[in-house]
Parts: sequence; C-alpha cells; structure tokens
Amino acid sequence: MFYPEKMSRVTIVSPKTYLKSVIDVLYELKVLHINDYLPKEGIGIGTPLKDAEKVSKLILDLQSIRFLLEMPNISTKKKMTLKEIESYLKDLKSQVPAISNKISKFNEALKMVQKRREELEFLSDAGIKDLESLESLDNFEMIFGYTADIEKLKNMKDVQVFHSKKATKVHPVAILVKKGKKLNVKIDEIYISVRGKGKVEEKINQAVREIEDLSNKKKDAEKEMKKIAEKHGGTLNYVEVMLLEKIKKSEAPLKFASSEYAFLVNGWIPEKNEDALIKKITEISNNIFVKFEKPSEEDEVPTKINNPALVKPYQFFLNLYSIPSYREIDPSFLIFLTFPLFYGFILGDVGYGAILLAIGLIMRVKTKHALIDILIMSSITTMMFGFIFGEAFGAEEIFGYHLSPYINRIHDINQLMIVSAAIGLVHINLGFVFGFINEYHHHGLTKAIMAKMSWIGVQIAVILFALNSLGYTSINIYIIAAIGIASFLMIVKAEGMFGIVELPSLISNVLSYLRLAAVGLASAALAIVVNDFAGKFFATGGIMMVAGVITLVVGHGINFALGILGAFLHSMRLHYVEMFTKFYGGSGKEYEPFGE
Amino acid sequence: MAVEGMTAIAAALAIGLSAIGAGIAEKEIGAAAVGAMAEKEKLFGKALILTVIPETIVIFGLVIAIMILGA
Repeated sequence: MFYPEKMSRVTIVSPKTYLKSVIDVLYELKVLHINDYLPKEGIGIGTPLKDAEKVSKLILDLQSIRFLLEMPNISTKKKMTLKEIESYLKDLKSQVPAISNKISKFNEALKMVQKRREELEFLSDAGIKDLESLESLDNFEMIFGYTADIEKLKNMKDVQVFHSKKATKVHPVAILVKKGKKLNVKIDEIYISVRGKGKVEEKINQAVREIEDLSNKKKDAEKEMKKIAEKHGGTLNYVEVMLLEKIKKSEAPLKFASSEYAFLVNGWIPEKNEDALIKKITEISNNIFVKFEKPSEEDEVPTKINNPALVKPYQFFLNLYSIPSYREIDPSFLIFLTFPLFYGFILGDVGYGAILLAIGLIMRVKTKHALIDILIMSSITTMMFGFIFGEAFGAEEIFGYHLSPYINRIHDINQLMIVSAAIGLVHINLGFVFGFINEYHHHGLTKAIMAKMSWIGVQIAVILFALNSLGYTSINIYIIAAIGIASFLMIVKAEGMFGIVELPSLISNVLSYLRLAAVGLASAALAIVVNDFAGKFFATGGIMMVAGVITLVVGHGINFALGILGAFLHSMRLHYVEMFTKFYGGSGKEYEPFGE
Repeated sequence: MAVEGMTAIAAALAIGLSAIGAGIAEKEIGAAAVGAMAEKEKLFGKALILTVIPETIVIFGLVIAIMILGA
C-alpha cells in the first residue's frame, strides 16, 4: 500500500515450436510487462505470426463497416474461424457500403429538390405564374430579391416588376430590367437557377411529390441499415475484440529476441505472480527455461501501485501528476487522509455538502470515475465541517434546527488562520518525513538526515525561538541557536546554494495553507450576502417573494459551483506544490501487462 | 478622512494590488503552460502547479489586510 508492488525480472527462453503457446499463456495471465528487445548484431527481433497480415486487413474491413453502422452496445458471442470471419465480413462489405452510398445519394437529391422548391416558392410569392416569363429577352436581365421600395421600382422606366399583391413590408420581387441600367433601390438579391417551361404552381407540386418520394426511399434504406446493425452489431463487436486480441498476440514476437530456432522474452512480473507463470509454462513443456531475478539498482522497473478500494481513487492525483518511480513511497494513502479533510475545511457547509453528496451518488450509479468517489468522500467531510462551523447554506440553522458553531468562520477568522497554519506545518513536515524515508532507502541514514531532517530542525529552532520570545517557554537560547545553525549547515552541505535560496520558501509554504481559512471565508461570506439579499426581498412580501427565491437559487448555485471547484483546486494545489515538493520524484514507468 | 476609512482603503489596497500582481504572473505562466500542454497532454498536473504558484501572493495580501483591519 505504501510502496509500489515488488517486481522481478523474468527471462523466458524457449524453442520456437512453443512460440504460439507461450504467447497464449502470457496473454491469458495478463501479468507480464514485456520489455521491448532492441535488436543487436546477430540476434534480431521476431517476426509476427503468420496470420498477422490477414488479421490486420480484417480489422480494417470490420472497422470500415462499423463506421457506417449505428452500432448497438452489445456483444454476441459467436465462435468463428478466420476463414469464416473473412467470408462473413465480405458478405457485409458487399451490402453495407452500397446502402450507405444510396442514402447519401438520396440526401444529395433531396437537397437539390428542396432548393428547387424554395426557389419556385419564391417565384410564386413574387407573383410569377409561368416559368416562361423568366426567359430573358435581348438587352434585358432578370433580377430577383427582396425589397421594401416597391413603388419606386414601379415608377422607373425600362423596368418591369413582378411582385405579390400581399401586403408585407419586404416584398419578394422579380425585376425585368434593361441591361446596364442602375437601379437606385436597395434590393437584397438572391440567385434563382430555375428555368424552363410550365406553370410554377404545378412545378411546386411536382417538387413536393419528389421530396416525399425521396424521403420514403431514404427512410427505407435507413431501416435496412438499422436492421443490419441490429442483426450483426453484437457479432461485429465480439469479432472485433477477438481480432484485436489476435493481432496483439500475432505481433508480440516483435518485442522478443529471436534466433533461428529459439526466442527470448524479457520483462517484469509482480513477485506474487511468479508461481502462476511457472506453473502455466511447465504445462506447455519442460524444455522452456524461465528465470526470475531481483531488480538491480540501475534497472528501470515499471511501477504498479496497488491500494485498497477506498484509497484507489486517490491514485488519480498521481496519474494526473506523474506516477511514483518503483522505489518511491506511494503517497495515495496520505492523500486519501488529507485531501477530503482540506476539501471539507474549505467548503465546510452542511447544505452544500448534502447537495454534493446527492450529486455524487447519482452520478456514481451511471459512471465509475475516481473523481466521483473523491467528491463523495469530500462531501461527507464538507458536512462534518459544516457542523463544526455551524453553516448550512450560509445560515446557522437547517430545517429549523439550530446549528451552534464551534468556530464561527466570520468572527473567529484569526483562530481559523492559526489552525490553518498549524495544519500546514503538520502537512509539510509529513512531506519531509516521507522525503526522509525515501532518502534513507536510496542513500542511507546520513544523507537522509542531512537533506530532510535538517529542514525539520530549522523549523524546530524557529518555533522554539518564537515560543521563548512569547514567554511560553524558557529554553536556553544557545541550545536553540545550536539546533538552528547545525540544521542550516546541513542544508547547505546537502543542497548547496539552492538550499539557502529555498529556505524562505518554508515560510511561504506554511502561509500558503492560510488559504484553507481564506477561501472558505470567502464562500461563507458570499452565502451570507445571498441570504441577506433574499431576506430583504422576503421581508417586502408579495411579488418580491419570487425575486427572493430567484436570488436564493441563483446566488447559492453560483457560490456552490465556485465552491466545489475552488475547494478541489486549492486542496489539490496544497498537495502538489506545498507537500509533494518535499519528497516526491515521480516519473515512474507505468506497468502495462501484456494482454490488458 | 476618518481613520477607519483609511484603514479600510489600506486593507483593500493590500489584497487588491496583490491579487493584480498574482494575476499578471499567472497570465504569463498560464499561457506558457497551455502551450506546453498542447504539445504533451500529460503535463497537465505539472502545468497546473506552475500556474498556481503565484497564487500565494494573494494569501499574503489577505493576511496583511486582515491584520490591518484587526489592528
């Protein structure tokens, strides 16, 4: 829980006859993180199994069909050989793209007819009954468009105007005008491509019939597609998974070292899975050689972090940042303890907490995401702190039940800031302790004390000095000075100039935790302001009651949204910036077992 | 002007100016961080940290503001 899982290096050497069986076993076990073999002189990488090319072609075919179908979210098991899959896909490939083409052709045709219909309707609106009247005469041209200034047009010379008799502000018009003549009238011109013979009304009816016909045909084709998707979708999904598995297996030899008659697999496996691997491999043959080794200091071992279900969601923060290296402490458990605490401390409101809890629980039914689990836990601490601060939607009572605050966030802000700084001091020093343990494992006790304990020493000296000055204690000043100077020298020795430059950051780090009080104070104050506003509306009564309700909903809505986001980001930041910098290296390599 | 008015303005300046300072700093870092993230999405965690570092300045401002008001 506190460290990534212990790994061993595995080497498997086997005659090539067992290549397929070994790959099958490794795939089934899903525990081996295979190291890519870098080809050296004499021994190259393996070649893919003989099916590989065919399988990847089939995957391509399958995905091109999938792309066209509306796939259902089911998987129907159906055992098929590669040959059967091939003919099955061939069959579908002869149907699906053809129907899909048909549909897009119908769509295109529909678009064109629809455009024609719109144009015809425009002409009809403009009062043109017969298409033949659009035939342009020599020296004349047709202009179509909308205008408001119809009277002016009518009175012009060399201009003939067609327009509807309907009384509207903007008239659709068709204007026959002598070429080159300037119309000093504002017209929103449109382009009409319809020409030919026949009555406009008839043409419109014809277009409507065509549209109906085309839509029916399109619907039929779509139905057909749907039928195919329903009938074959499940099988396609199943086959896809199967093919992807096959291609993974077929291409595995590319990661193996391979000579003419034998191959070698090198990788990492969790120590606890060693026996299972041995057992499965000996089931294939006794002629396969398997060796386990402990990782050496220089090895870059993949990190597999493993935590109990309750702590697991907090690995999210590590994934977001950088996963720990193999030899480092996994801080998930500490984040699990402190993150919800910080979150609750900042938001600290029974009402907001309850809403957040409800939202979290509802979302959890549908989606499983680490964030949701984190929010649920945080909402509970939010309610806890809500009781401590005596806040429910900013008020001191909930459903008539009076909350008596242990600390009032508005009035006792000074105490709250002191508490925050104290939390910070503890949190940062936890970071130093973790750093101490990491250093101890890597570089031994002396280095660990020099590099990490020294920082704690400086703090102790400062705190003792402060307590002395305030008169709480009377420790000999020389002892304090000795602690301080010794620690300081150790820092200089261990970290050089950087250490000295970094020293003042201790203060800013601790002060940074004041945000726990400050951000919370801001959201509490905003809630109270919203309540006061709404209260004034309610006091007026009458229609103002509605305004009061709106103020409450909108105000608390905004404050809630800002609050959950702010609390999250600030808590996260305190972990990343103030705490992780004391011990966390990160940059681990992720454990990716073959077959997963 | 009354002393209370002056203290209130002083407190407002303390937090307001420090917030502007943090804003200017975060603007630059944020722009660079988004650029880096466009190249490599995995940098989100680190980009976030870099972006929020100047935020502490506001907290200092707030502390001073509260101290001014409390005095």
